Amino acid sequence: MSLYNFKKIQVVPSANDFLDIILSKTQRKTPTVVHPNYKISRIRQFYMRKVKFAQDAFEEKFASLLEDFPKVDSIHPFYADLINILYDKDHYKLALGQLNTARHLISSVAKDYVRLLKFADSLFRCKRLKVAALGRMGTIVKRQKDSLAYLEQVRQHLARLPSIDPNTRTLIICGYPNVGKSSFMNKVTRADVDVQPYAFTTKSLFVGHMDYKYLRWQVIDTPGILDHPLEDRNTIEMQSITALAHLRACVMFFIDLSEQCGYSIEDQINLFNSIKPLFANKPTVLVTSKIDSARLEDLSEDNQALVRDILSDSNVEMCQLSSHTEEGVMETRNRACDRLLSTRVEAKMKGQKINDVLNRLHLAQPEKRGDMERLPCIPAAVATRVKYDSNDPKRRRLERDVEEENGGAGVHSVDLHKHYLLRSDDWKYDAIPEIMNGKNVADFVDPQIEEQLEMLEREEERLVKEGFYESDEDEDGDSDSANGMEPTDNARIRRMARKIRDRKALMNVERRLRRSRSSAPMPQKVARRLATGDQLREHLEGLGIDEAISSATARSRSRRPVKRTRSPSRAESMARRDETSVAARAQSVVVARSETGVKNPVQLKQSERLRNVAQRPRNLNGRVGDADRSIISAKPRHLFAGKRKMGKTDRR
Amino acid sequence: MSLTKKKKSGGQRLTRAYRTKRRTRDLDQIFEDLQPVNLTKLVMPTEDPDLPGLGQHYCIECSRHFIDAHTLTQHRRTKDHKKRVKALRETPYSQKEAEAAAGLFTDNGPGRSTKPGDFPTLTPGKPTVSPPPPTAAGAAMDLA
Amino acid sequence: MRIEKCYFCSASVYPGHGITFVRNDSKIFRFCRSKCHKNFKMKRAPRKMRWTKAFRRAAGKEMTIDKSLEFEKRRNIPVRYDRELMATTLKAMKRIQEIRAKREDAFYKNRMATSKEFKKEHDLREVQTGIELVGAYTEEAKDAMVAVKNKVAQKQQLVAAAGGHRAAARAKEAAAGADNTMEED
Repeated sequence: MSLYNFKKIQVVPSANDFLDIILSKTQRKTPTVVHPNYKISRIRQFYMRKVKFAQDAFEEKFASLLEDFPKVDSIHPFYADLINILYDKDHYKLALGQLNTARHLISSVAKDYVRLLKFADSLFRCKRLKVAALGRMGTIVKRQKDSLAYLEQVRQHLARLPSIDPNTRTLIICGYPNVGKSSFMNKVTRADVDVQPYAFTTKSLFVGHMDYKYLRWQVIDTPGILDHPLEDRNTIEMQSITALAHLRACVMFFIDLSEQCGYSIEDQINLFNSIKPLFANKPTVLVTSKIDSARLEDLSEDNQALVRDILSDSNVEMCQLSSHTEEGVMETRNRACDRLLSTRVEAKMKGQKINDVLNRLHLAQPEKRGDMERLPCIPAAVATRVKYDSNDPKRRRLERDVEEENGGAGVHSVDLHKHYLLRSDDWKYDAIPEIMNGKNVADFVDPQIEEQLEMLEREEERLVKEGFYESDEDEDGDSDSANGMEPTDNARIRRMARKIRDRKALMNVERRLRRSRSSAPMPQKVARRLATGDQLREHLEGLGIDEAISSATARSRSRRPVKRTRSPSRAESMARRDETSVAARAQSVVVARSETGVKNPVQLKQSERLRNVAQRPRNLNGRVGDADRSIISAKPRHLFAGKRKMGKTDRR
Repeated sequence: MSLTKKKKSGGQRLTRAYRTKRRTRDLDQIFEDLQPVNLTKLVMPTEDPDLPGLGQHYCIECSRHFIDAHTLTQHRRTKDHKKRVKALRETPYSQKEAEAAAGLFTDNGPGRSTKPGDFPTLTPGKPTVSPPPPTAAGAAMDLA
Repeated sequence: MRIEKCYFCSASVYPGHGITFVRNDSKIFRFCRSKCHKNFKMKRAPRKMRWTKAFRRAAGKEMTIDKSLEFEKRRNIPVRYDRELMATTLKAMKRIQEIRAKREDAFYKNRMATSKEFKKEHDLREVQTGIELVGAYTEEAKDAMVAVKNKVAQKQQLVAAAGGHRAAARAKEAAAGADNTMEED
């Protein structure tokens, strides 16, 4: 991934578009409804918000633009120079600077108008101020029309620049026009650079990538350079010069010895010498191309001497290649790469950073112990092993063969049991029990189980002998009464106690029932008077008191004089009448409609069934019945809901 | 898709039963937290903006975050906290103990196995031994 | 496949039964039924729920130290399969379970021994105070009252003779000890 990627710069809108964007955003994202009868503070606030929002939107947009464009002073000098050459640094900086001032102007305009809005006294005044504020902002932006248009063009161009990483391993191909730079490039990398038989086919920098020694290499194809002073060079040539000047790379200077390019060898050598200062401290390779037509040996003495003269410099090496026959292309590339690699390593070794890595490196080597010869050991089984051959009939039988014989994959299931290591081979296919009587068998498996069990058995024997399990129960005889024997005192007491507890429980239940009744309670005094002799007798018999006694009690009670002179016989007859009173009042008892005229429960059940059957179709239809909720006159909602500020509930 | 939106597929009851979003730490986890090894990490927490009070005021025993030191100290005075501290004093319940209660111990070789007497009892001293310890005569018989 | 133990109540969890919860620290909790699962979710302490084995064990309601309990262990040291060993194991399992059941029974009886006296006392008081509820004039009731009187008289005698029931018990124990020593001789 390259650090310098200018493809992500966002589009710079033209001045008019800029305005449209901001104004529509302001319109969309701020409230739009305001009335003259609002409080003035609210109206002011409404318009201030609009102005401030527009300012914010402008600022945000400008800030993101300024952020996106590369700053010439803070980027790599290669790019800084490239920008200078291509777009003119002054112009570029001026455009960005103007945008910055526009931003500040807009914010100061906004500040002024917000201050004015604070003192506006009507909606109209507020509105005028807002219009004025936005208008002035718009004017400021419109004044930047040219800068914006220029920056948009720059952006488009920047986006198309090759993404060159200035710090990575790089080969730079340079030379006169038409000497075969691009052809070499196409041979070495996968880049598809246009190759034509005329000068200045390549008009800008091109980047290709290749792999060598498992590393990624960057190859830069530069436009051709002519030999004239720096001031006279055009933009196309200057790009090459920039690349040569700022990238720490291996320079491959191409020379066409056949002079097919239209420039003499002398010119080419002169160019080399004139741009030589740019090659300082860089591994340089002098590449003679097109050796299919002319080699160094074929040249005249003078020309040979010129070339040799260059090579006398220790920093320069010569390679020969022909892109046409592909002779020497790879050798050239490898030579160039190796040289660059070695210089880079050297540079790194000189730097400070290397110490951090070197400290951590340690190469361990075994020391020789004694005179013994330590040869590699190969086990006999491995040494004598016959190599597996699938065609050999006597080959080892593999699991795969077994699988094939038994129906192939998906049908055959691998037998894992056969590899079990057990004491006896017969046991391999035993079904091993997992669970028995609610216990995991595996939890009991223990090689010493027999001895352990033996010990347990002995302990058990001892316990039985000691009488540990003999219980002393039945000493009071739980079941002695069942045996027909005379029950003991304990049994008697126990039985009685149980009876008492039962009785208590029963009383509890009764008390609870009495408390939960629905009718009015009868006063105890009356209840006692109304109690019949039968009830009393029953109660007393339950308590085990003789009937004779109980009847006597009843009589004696009935004879007792009562406070009011009401004869006891009358009281009794009244009680009787009370019992039958329900029957006497039959007329006033309300009987359900469904039960009138029904003789017995069977008939009642039948009638109920018939009624249900008759009801069924109506239920199925889901007609509205009496039981359904209905709102007969639905009033409009406003008449019975909401605030009542003006008007009445029914007239509003 | 969130769990709540998937109601139809698994049934609401089921999803609710398995929901562990609001699960608080269990007692045995807190017991682990209180071990000196883990304690240092919790005593000096890093700032976490998602937690109350940036996660700086944490009651380890109750595994709760508080907004400031004051509420934390106030919390330390509550009954809930004290109860929790008391509960953490004894060894936490574990699957091992559950198994031991059912008479299933663990054998990891000598010295690393669980034995019947390893787990706490409510009434120490009350005999849980079934047969009486062997008398001298009994022991003699065992040896025979 | 194995029978696991419930985390909460220590009941057996057969394969395909119950529910398993895996906490986010990968600790596994198995529950035999929804009751246990719910109780766990409520963060209840198994040691404090009276219906769990853990409580019963901790409260001394179960036999915990016994030779017959030392056979069943989760064995984490693998033993190679051996048919003969397996046969003896299966045989031993049956025998161990028999012995264990027998001893647990004895343990229970032993534990209940003290409660019997207490129950008798309780019955006596019940009859003394509540005989009117069922009628004191039936034959049965009369018999019971006679029995109560006998008992009370017996007790008073004992108190008078040995200065309290406790002393009497102590005397009995001493006598038993003496017997033991004689046996040893």
